[in-house]
Amino acid sequence: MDCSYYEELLSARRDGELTPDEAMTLEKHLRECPVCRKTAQIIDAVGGVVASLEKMPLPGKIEEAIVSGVRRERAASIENGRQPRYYRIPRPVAWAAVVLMLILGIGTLSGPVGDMFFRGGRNRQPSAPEVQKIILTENDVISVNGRPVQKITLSETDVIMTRTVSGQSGKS
Amino acid sequence: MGHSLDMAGEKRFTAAFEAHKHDVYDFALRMLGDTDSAGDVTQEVFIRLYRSLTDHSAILDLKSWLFICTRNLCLNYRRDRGREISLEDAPASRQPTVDQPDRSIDAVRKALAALDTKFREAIILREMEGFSYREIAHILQITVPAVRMLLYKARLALREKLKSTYPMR
Repeated sequence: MDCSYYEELLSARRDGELTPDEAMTLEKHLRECPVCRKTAQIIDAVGGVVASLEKMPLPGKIEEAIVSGVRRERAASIENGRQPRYYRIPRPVAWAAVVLMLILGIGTLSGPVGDMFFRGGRNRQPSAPEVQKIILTENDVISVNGRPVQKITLSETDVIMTRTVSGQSGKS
Repeated sequence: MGHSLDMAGEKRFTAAFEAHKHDVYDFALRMLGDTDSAGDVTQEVFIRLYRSLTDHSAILDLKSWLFICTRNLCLNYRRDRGREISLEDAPASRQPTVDQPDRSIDAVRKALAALDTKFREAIILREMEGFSYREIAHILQITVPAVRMLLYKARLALREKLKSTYPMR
């Protein structure tokens, strides 16, 4: 009997790659064929020995050479390209730092954050010029650079004028 | 190479090296038959892995990738050197056990080393490394039915070389 087809099935059975139909066909044949039963035993026995062969461990000197080779590769890649990412600050952290620095930096110049830290300090920046309304009454004198230029008469009472001041304001 | 490996890549490389360094070396040794050549190939395989991880090349199945790379380098190595494996160079087997006497282990080791390369690599990938037919097909660049037929023929050839150790009667 030519059993080559069944021997092929025996090989696939060893690998667990038989279809259900093939498995049924093979089992039926094995019940009738002592030669294939013996072949099945040998295939399993030899396969078991091959599977149990101990692998040769990588010798230490070769492992050292590989580690050195990878180290050279790493150095060359850093030299030719950018820095490894793990030497840099992670991007989210960098952005958070930039935002924080901007907030603190602006805060030292003006605004509520700056006021929190520098209220009344000597480095405090002058506030923006204010527009004041001054109500002039009779006998008030308008002067420029300390020199009287106009005296308010009765008819001019209640004239309202505005001026821009940067320091103490008042009327004389 | 545009840049170097990030921390995750370094970890992946280290894990791959520790997990498969012996597999790669042993496969190269069984393909080439001498320790120096197997060492050269193993080193080249892991350097290539490092470069591939650095370049963010897609490696879906790491072990298959390593064996494809090892096999290709071994074939190139043999083609360039024009050298065939000798029985004396075949890797030694493990210590004998009660169930598997030294005689049969040594006979199988020598028979395996004496097989044609295509049969030997198929048997190693299946029996020693446990790859599936689909994975072997991917590694050897053949179809799954061809793998099945290849393994059948490889086992036939192995049995033929082991006739005296495993007689039919």
